[in-house]
Amino acid sequence: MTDKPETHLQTLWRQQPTEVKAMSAIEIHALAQRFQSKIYRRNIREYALCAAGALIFGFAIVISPDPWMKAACLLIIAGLAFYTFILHSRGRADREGLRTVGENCRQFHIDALTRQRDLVGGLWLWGVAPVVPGLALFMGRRLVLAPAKALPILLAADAVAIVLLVGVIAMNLWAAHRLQKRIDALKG
Amino acid sequence: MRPTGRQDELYGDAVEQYGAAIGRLARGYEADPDRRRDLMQEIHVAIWRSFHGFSGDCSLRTWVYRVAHNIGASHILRARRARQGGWISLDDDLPDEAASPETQTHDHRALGRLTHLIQQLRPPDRQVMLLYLDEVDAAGIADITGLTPSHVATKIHRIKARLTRLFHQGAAS
Repeated sequence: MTDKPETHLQTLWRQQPTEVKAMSAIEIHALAQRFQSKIYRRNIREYALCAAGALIFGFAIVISPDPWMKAACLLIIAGLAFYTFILHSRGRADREGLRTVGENCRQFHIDALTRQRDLVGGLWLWGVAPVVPGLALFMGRRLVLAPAKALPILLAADAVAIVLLVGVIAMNLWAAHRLQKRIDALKG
Repeated sequence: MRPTGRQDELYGDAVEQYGAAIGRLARGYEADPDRRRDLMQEIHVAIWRSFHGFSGDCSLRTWVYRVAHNIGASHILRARRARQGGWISLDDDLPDEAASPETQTHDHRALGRLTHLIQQLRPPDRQVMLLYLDEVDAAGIADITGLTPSHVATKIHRIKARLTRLFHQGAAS
């Protein structure tokens, strides 16, 4: 050994095995509770938005004389219904489960985070893609039916809608990445 | 207090980077394994809670060590009131029982003696010793403990002398 004694003791001290513990069960439970509440509120908001969208496009079906527009609106409503179904079946909050989970709260929270990570990471496929056919038909048909001078405004509106959809996908992919970091931290 | 996502994220980073250091720190403040587990939990909860008010004015390391050492110091003050035990300074000798030889290797004995020494030290000395052993530099120690850099330098000088003495005592035993 060529180290100075104090350096050697520093090394010994730093190399000793230690327990790297993450968070107490109480805090994990509080986090899990907050997470489930957040999921619950998010889902209520999404259901409300989908219902509002279905009402608007449903109204458009009634008032529009064009069969293609009617078909586009119907497809959008079907896409929204599919989105709501997946959100409810795979992404609903499990607040009752949290109340009865007991000491396995950490695993419960990790599982919940994992489910939400998979859900938001795959949003482009189950949330956005089903709405795209109806939306594309709606946009295309609207351009065909609109007067020429309204085209620039409609094209700009379509571009904004597309940017918003891409933005939603990007934000959800980022959210999935952040959820993964939280899962890693809990797994220690 | 409502937790925030940033709070969770900061806590995750803190555990990832300083989880092992917190474990060593707890060992320096509590010898009993069961009470040490409680202390660890207390430290982790305190760190997690503290991130609610973390403004980023100091580094994550400084913040984590400050919170952890404050909890550690409070812990030994409580324990001292309960047990009426005395502390020693860096210049005092170890109590006799600490010098009794272990039956394991030299390094293991040295680590045992070192741990025992740390657990006997007064809170300010203990903080500096633990930070020094974790290879935090003098400026960092001053930042974390609130001591002046010259005070820290003096303590580090004594710590080095103390460690050298302890190491040679271990080799001789």
